[in-house]
Amino acid sequence: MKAQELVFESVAHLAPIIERKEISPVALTKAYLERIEALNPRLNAYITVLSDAALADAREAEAEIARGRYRGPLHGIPIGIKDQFITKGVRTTVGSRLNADLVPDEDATVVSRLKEAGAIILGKHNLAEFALGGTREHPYGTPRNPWDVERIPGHSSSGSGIAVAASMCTAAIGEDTGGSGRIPAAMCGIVAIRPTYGRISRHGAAPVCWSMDTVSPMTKSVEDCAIVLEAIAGHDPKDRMSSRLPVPDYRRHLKDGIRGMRVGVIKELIPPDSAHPDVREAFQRSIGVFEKLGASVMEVSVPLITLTAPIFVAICDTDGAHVHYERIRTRTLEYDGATRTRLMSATLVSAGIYNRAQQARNLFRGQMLSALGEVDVLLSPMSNGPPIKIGEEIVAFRTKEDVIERQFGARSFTTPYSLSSLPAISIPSGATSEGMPIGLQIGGGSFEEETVLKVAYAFESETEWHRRRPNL
Amino acid sequence: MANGSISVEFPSDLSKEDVQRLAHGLGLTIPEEDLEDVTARFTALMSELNKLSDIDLSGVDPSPIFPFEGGRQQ
Repeated sequence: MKAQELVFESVAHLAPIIERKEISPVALTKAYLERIEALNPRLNAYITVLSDAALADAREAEAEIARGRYRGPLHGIPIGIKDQFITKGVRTTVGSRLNADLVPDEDATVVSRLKEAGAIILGKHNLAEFALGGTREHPYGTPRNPWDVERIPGHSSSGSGIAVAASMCTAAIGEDTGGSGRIPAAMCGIVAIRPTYGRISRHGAAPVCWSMDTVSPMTKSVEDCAIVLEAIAGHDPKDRMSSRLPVPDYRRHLKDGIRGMRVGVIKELIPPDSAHPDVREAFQRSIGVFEKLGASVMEVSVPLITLTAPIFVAICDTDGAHVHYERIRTRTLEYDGATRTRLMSATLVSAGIYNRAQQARNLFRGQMLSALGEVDVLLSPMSNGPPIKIGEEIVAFRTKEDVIERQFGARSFTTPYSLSSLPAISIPSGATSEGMPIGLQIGGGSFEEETVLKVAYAFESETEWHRRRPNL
Repeated sequence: MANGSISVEFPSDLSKEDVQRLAHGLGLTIPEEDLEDVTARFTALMSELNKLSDIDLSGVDPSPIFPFEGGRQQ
């Protein structure tokens, strides 16, 4: 098969072909670079493309493999990195003009680990400014959904979602604080996992909220997600919050099946009548898939989930405001309008308010763990509808009621796992009548990524949604 | 001593002038063009967080993370 056709394949498919020397990492890298050159002007997935460095690394990988020194499934695989992670000698903008000239002198731990695994770094992916979401004017181009370029791709790991879906890389490294990996995955029709907090080192990731930031593998398939997660997980002395728990072989039980497992549908997140009918139908159909696979499906309740959006904002944005305090005071107008109003608002949050939100977070986490005491995994949709049109979400707020309706009106599907430090994966589970992807979220217990991946793999194997490709 | 629960109502009806004064006290000047948006965001957040007043949070620690946990045996 030609390299130009192999760009659509998964890591799991490409790795053995590369190992057997049936495809050259150089040819594969060239094919991706050609595709990036053709599509990036339209989609704005990449801020920086590392053509020369990627080709040099690909030549080195090819030579090493030729000498019989195959490192593993990421060796020779072209990958993209969200421009939130620092890269030695390569500009790291974090999606902001404030960082236009920032060239770090070291790699983030996740980047180092990818390089050690032999991956080829194709470039840095576009994102919402400072990974906060809601950016009105992206200084490095407006990221566009490959399924409909007039719609948003989801944020903040926008470019990573686009690049994987549009086959402008085999896999990507995103970041997920409140859903920044899972949301673009759902909107672009790919897979992304938010691992348990502490499973992957945050060293070198521009911070959003220290207690919720996680590194998020974004891939074409669940198996790829397992491969990438395994390569980058594990303790890092540079991140004191990274766990010392051993990293399992995430593919060991991937194909074991889920017969007899208990799947809990979060009652409060079942799509209401006001949700898009295709989303409601896709969710009901998904439940049927789990039943067909031999799992028992039951409803579970997490009452405080209805308040997770304001609890999340009170904690995440306040932490973010602390990170940006000096620059938001002195370089205010250099920030995007949405970023600065969000950060300035959070600057006003008092310690009393912040602590009450943290107390509520702790109580909420207890409810999530209690629900997980009844079932093996939790299930919910990823949203109530398809991605909106570009421009619809960026209008400034006028009144309190406006914010309550637009920001807090709908239930938050992703922040429950962020607040409770638990793993969750988003996988493709359907499409609207217009062809826009629909995502399904599967969450699990602390450090139970293996279980989450196994359940997601079982679903994926029974369906074809992950095989759809945007017509570009 | 366990953490208590604050029972005071958070300010959800502040004017733009109130918000600018609050910001000044924190060393921040909100540009005029952003004041309406910031006021809307802050008062909405306070309004939503006031819903927590109905929940008994006394004795609940404000712990943000649980780094020593693993698996279900917590």
